[in-house]
Amino acid sequence: MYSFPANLFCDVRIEQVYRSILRIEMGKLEEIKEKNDTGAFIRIFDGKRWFYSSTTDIENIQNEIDSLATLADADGMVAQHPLIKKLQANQGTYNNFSGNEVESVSLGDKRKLLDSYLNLIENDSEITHWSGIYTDNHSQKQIYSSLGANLKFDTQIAGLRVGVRFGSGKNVFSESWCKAKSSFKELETLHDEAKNFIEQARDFFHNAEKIEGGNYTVVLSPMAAGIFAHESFGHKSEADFMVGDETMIKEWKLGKKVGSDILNIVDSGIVAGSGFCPYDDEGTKAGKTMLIENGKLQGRLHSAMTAAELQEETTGNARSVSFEYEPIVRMTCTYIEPGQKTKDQIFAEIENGIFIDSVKHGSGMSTFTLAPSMAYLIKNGKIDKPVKFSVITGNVMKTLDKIDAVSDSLEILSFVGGGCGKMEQYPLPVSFGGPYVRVSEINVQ
Amino acid sequence: MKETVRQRVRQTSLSLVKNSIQAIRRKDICKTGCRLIKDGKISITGGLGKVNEEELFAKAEKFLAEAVEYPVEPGGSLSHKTDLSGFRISDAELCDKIENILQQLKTSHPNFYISNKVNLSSIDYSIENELGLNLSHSDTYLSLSFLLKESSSTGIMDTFFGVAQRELDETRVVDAVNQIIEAYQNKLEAIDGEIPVIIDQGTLTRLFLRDLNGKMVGNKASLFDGQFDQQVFSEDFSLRIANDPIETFSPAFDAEGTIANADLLTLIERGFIRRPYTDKRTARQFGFMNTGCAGGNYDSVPSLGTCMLEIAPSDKTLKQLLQGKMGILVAIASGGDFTPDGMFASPVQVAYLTDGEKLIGRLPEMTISGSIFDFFGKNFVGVSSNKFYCAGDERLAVVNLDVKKL
Repeated sequence: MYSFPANLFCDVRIEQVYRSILRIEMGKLEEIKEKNDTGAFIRIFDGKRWFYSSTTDIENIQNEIDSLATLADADGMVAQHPLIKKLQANQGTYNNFSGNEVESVSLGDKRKLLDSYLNLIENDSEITHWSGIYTDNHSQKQIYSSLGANLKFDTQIAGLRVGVRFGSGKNVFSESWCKAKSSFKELETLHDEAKNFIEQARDFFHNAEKIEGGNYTVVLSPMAAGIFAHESFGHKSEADFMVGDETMIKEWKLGKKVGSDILNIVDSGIVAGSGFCPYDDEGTKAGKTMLIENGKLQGRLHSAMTAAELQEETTGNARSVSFEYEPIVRMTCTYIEPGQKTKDQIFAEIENGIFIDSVKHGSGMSTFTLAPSMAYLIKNGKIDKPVKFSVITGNVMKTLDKIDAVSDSLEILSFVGGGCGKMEQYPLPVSFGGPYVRVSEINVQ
Repeated sequence: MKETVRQRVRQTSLSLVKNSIQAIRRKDICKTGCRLIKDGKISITGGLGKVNEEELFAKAEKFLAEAVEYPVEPGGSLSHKTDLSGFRISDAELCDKIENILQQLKTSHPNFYISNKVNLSSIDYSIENELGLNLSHSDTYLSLSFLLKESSSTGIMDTFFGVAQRELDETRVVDAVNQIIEAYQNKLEAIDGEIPVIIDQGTLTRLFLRDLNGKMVGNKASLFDGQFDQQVFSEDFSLRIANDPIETFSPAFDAEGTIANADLLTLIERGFIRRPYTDKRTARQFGFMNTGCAGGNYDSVPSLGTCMLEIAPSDKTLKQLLQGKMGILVAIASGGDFTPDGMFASPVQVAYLTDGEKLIGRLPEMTISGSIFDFFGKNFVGVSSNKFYCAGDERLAVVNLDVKKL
């Protein structure tokens, strides 16, 4: 397809993306758009340095390859470079959404769907501000390389977000219900869930009380557990942070105990939803990677470069936010695996604790934080009342070790309208989840 | 009425891994948005690269019936040009200078790794229409983002240096990073009690982005509902919309082509909440003044999003604001947030003790907390007249806060 320069590695990633978005705010249509964009990202490696170019001029990719090659030093040994040996040369066409493409649904039908959800909140006298968004994205990617890769595959996501704000002045509360699926059709029957969520938010608005900060036993919902897994541990599993760093390699040696015995954390690109990524942006096939198994470090996330550096296998986690960026090591769907206890058992064993149900955002370095949206006091094994505070925080490793129960059912959550950020690349679609996870002690502020 | 938005981004990006340039990325991406404003509606189409604008306008016309209502006057009879693109450096020269900086820092601090990105960006952005609107903005600047990690550390990163500027003064960069690393290595004991905390303005002002949004205020959904034209904050505290391209690295005009009058940029004046920030449609709907804060992508309906805010600086330097005391400079505070009623709490992962001119040493992790009404009320000291290069070359806010060891 392309004439690749001699004695250099080269690959080309072409992305054709269909997107649509409808946004309604306080009853008024604010945005309605559907579009198709095409762009390409070209990489050349000479054994010492990478050279990248992004372009929208698809007809002149060959010229761009030739121009980029002039910056590199051709090396007859490049094919023997460990990094090149880690790159896969997959071939074939894998259309995962044939017959369910979001572009085959009219904007009129998307508007009707969004309206049907907004009917749940219109004319509600307690809601002082509201908005709703429908958005979708169908990306078709092609990857060609000097190693012989000739791969076509697609990813797709469609989702809804309904945001509400109750009250005014110092008595205000905002929440949003968000759900994403792999097809438009799967969004048609979630009204009861949305309605229940809005009513839960209303109850929180009316009844939430401030609580004193301090250390509590905390139960994390599947959403909170997923964000915790992603932010507090997942980013540390991205192997680009370990390259050439002897301290990190020693600290993150596989087999090391990093959490309680019941803790298992996974990243998988083959779970349906916003983290679905059957091949990464180097053309490597995705799979399920155990990051922590029975509390021990079991694996990490790799691109070809990091796999070569650490002499491990690729995992299909080299991803970019668009054709304008190079693939770097990123998560896909990150979750805590379920355990043995029922949700009721996990709550019943708590005398005085906190249940984090929904979360605004989280972050994690050596110290993690989760900023809850809806949280509840647990008294004598049961939810007592809604409570409000700014954040929970703690040392990541100590907290992983204090996980003392996980429930028996897994929930994976997918989203639209945001994603994961790393360095300059934001937002990357990811998903996350888990069971209900109990931590014996977390600081509440 | 036809209106065209054009955006071109040329960029050379260097990926840094352990004090060396691992990759060089270049891009040159053009984006064109064609807005058709007719019969009180706005229909927009857009495309990447080479586009046929007539075809895009024809497509916009086709979708006009289903388009978004836009019952405001489009911009017209206004010309404005900003050209800040004077900074010139070739890719080869950029690589040489960055490699020189990295090598110097490797020599002075062999136990620290520097990673992440250096981006040289040239931005051209314009809006023009058939009514005589002719606005353009060109800028060329360099963004340095250095993640600094001690070789013996088990963290992903330990501290940070980041700055955007229209020059590359290698000595200044090296001196700043040296100062940060040396302060990081000088571990100090924890300090408790009420202490002047020096913090980037955006960390504390972000609540205003939500609660001074014109739609929130107009719908009486704001935290500040009922408090307009009342003194809510310190008389030393004034908050305004930042729209100086030299400072913001963004156009002076918004996505609707509005350049707001200077007297409309002040949202909080000497503690009195005066007005929300708005775009044309929000201003019209609720009877507010248009403050020129329409945002959106090149092919989106321009609408009220967020804006850049700045606290009016005092006439005192950072050192003068500290009045001879030591202050705590918050370098990394990740994960904090406000509750809906304005209470804030955040862990501070990296903080330095400073006299306002030099970083003295690193303090243990701590927490900061309080109410927005106190931050900019009884606890507010001021914003420095000078910029602190080690902290992103920004004017920093000083607030007396109760600090607790984490």
